[in-house]
Amino acid sequence: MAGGPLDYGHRWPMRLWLAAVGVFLYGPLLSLMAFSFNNSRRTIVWRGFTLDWYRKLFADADLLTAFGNSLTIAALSTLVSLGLGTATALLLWRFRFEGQTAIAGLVALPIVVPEICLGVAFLVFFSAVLPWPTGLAWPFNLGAIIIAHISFSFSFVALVVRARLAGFDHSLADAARDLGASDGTILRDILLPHLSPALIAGGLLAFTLSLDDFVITFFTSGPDTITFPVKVYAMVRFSVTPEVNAASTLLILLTAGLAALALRLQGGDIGREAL
Amino acid sequence: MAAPPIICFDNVSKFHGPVRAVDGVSLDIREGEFFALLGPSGCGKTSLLRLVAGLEMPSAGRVLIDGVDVAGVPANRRPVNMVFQGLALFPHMTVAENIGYGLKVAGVAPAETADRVADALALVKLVGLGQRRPDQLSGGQRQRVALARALIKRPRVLLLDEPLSALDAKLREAMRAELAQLQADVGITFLMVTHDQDEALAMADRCAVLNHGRVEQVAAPAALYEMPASRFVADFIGGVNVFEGRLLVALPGPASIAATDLDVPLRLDITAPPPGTPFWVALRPERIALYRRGPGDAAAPVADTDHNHAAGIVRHIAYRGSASLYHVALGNGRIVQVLRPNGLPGAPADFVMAEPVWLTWAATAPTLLFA
Repeated sequence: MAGGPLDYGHRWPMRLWLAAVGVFLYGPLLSLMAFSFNNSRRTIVWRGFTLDWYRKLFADADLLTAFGNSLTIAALSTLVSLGLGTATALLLWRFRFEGQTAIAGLVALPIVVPEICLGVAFLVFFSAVLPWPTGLAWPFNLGAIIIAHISFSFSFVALVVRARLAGFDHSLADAARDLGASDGTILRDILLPHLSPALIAGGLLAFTLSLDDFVITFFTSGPDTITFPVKVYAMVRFSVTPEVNAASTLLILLTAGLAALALRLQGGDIGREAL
Repeated sequence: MAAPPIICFDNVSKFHGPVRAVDGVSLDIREGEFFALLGPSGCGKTSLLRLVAGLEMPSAGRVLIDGVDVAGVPANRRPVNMVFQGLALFPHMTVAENIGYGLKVAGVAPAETADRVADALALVKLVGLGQRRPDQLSGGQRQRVALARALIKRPRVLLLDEPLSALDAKLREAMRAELAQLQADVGITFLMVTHDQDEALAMADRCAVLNHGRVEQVAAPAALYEMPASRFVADFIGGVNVFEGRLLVALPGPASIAATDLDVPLRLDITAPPPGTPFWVALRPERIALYRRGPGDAAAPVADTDHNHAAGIVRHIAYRGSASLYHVALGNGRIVQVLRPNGLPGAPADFVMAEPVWLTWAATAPTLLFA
């Protein structure tokens, strides 16, 4: 009974496999979300629906501060990463120069280096080489974490933008120049509209990467610069409480929402909507 | 002829590494003419166009527009505009935005831009399509948008890089006439690059045939075809039979020439070349007639004296509708191409494969080539 690729979904081994994927991939997430509504201090037995843990969560000043820190760090590092990553991609695309391959490799390095190594590296750097002053006013106290986040997320932005640039038709730039446009005008009128899907995707990528980064942040954060994932980790160290479940649920929903937004924007013709 | 050239290539060369894309080209384009740069791919014709546009700079020599050396003038400050090979319409802009882009960049007021865009849309017969996107247009419509966009700044010269290559054969034919008409209407000098000899001959006032970065010949279309300057031009413009020649007798009057590959001496009604000069004899396929009866035959159709004759056998027939191209093998095996119209009233029955035939051509038919 030969059939198209979709027909395989009707065969029982394939169905079993799909079921296993569903259970092990989404089961934990769903149960975590479910227990965040459980009316019990213990997380094992279901005792009815409640929003108490969310109320507690929003009354927890430390947690809210951590959440605010995370959003601030994510927003600032995304902005800088977008600028830096796009500029890097344009530089590597537009010019031919000595050591270009080496620089292209260096830009991609943060993507392949294990996060724990980057984390330790930043720990050493910000304690021994360039100690970040403590007691600074918000948001400057977050500077070290923001720099660390930029250093890895700009690589992703550069990667996405470079991929999009590879498909750029040079004759469009020639045509604009022929019609009187200067380099800056070509960048604004022709190149950036072409890049807009990559800029949106890269920006959302950088934002979510920063928002849920734990390892690197853990090594660079000080006592007054706790982020949301680090705070959740601290809570879990004592016990997995329903508050943790509630906090995690919020984080999951936020990241999933952003990812969905990125997919949707990439699906449509963004260059068109953007103008 | 007194009009000064609007574009002058003065011994221009362009090197891409070791490749000489353009090799010492000197060429004048006159104001108001439709000029075609014709040649096979890689002959340097597109490089010449981009040198005028300012998208490339010459390695040596000068490019003059209106008598002014434009070295150092960037593309966005030159009084020329271009229609690109792939059209290069901006995909994220509407048709009207595409056409008005040159004016917008120049800082023309939006109201005036709108008026001129409307005029341009009317000029290229796209009224009512201003709010469409390029991908919502047909190939022919996109072509017109590219033309309108390049014409809206009223350039001194419109550069066209293979302007019709994106269209299908039928549309290309129609656009040829339209493009020539457009040029007459706007009165702007057109400089077109094409590899399609039919296109160049049909549209241009004058053509330059290019090969390996050099100019082979500059002439009006008919002169290119009738009086090619070299074997390359003769072969590139239409079909041709070329025989290597050797002078036998140079009488006052018709010259007698021996051609390798040709059994019989040729009688040519031309001034004989000086002895020792290498030369070739070019004979267009449509200048040769096919007959069943040869010279000496009492009922031979043409007089013997001012015509050349050769016997052969039909080896291949390519039917082309209005005409058929016959490949006729001479006694020594050399294939000669003969183009014979089909369906002429009163013409003898068509020739068939392997039929013995006589080839006949007038003493005035061939052209001598010295390169």
